Amino acid sequence: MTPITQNHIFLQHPLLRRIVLLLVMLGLFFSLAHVVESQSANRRIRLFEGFSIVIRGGGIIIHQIDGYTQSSYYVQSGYYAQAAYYSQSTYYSQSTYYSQSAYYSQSSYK
Amino acid sequence: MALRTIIIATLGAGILVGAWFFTKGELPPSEELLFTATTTPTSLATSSSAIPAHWKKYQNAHYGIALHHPPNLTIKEFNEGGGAMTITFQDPAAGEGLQLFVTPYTEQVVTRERFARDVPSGVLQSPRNVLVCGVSGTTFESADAFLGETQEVWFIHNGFLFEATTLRLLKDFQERILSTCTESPAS
Repeated sequence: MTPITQNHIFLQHPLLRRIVLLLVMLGLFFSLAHVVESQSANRRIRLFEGFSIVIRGGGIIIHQIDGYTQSSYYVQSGYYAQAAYYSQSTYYSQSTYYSQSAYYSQSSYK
Repeated sequence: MALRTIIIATLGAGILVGAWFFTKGELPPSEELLFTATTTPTSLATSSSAIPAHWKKYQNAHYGIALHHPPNLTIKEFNEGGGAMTITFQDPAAGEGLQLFVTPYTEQVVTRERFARDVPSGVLQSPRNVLVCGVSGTTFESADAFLGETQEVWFIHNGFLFEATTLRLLKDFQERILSTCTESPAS
């Protein structure tokens, strides 16, 4: 008769086997969840990527660097800003006015 | 003797797991909830909710959203890996634009840990609960090293965390577009 070791008893005990199996499954589940969560991408700012931005006194100036040649830009006092640049022989201009109530108007033309 | 040790160790492990589940709802300070819904969410758009007829529709079945935007905006999608995507709606010549960062998210709330990952400046001011894309979200003032002062709108929908960002000056512009957001059948 083959002697029954304590290890055999442990493995053959239904309740303990279920408990161990449950713990292992829980461990795997939360480890996997943690790995998935930790590998999720961080946010990257893509807005106006490739452009430069100047903000002064509530105004905004945006001019593209790549593919464009900046002609000029300046910021007037208060809440008024204007920008202009050339792109492939086309002239762009932008002027923006901001009031304290956040109302603004703007124009751009080629 | 060995069997007894194993039983005790197993029970101890079970108690630890149980304790972990029990305390899971009581997050430590470093992981506490970022936003607390203490006020009733209000609609994003304060003006007329009618969508201008000439606006275009953007739809993303994977993330389950659809929204309308002015026709001058150019849309670009950037695959960020891990199921995440950044979608930009912008017209740099007109000084208009917003970006929408979407990432898979298993939590039901935004934690400080997640916020710290996506907003290195750590700036969170004037939070306000809003209704966006049919769910409750939060808009708040923040800051970015490149953009400067920003306005954010964050919400969790369909297993994804959505983070809309624009310049603070374009707050109304962003809210007007997001107010057109609706649920779209997910793929």
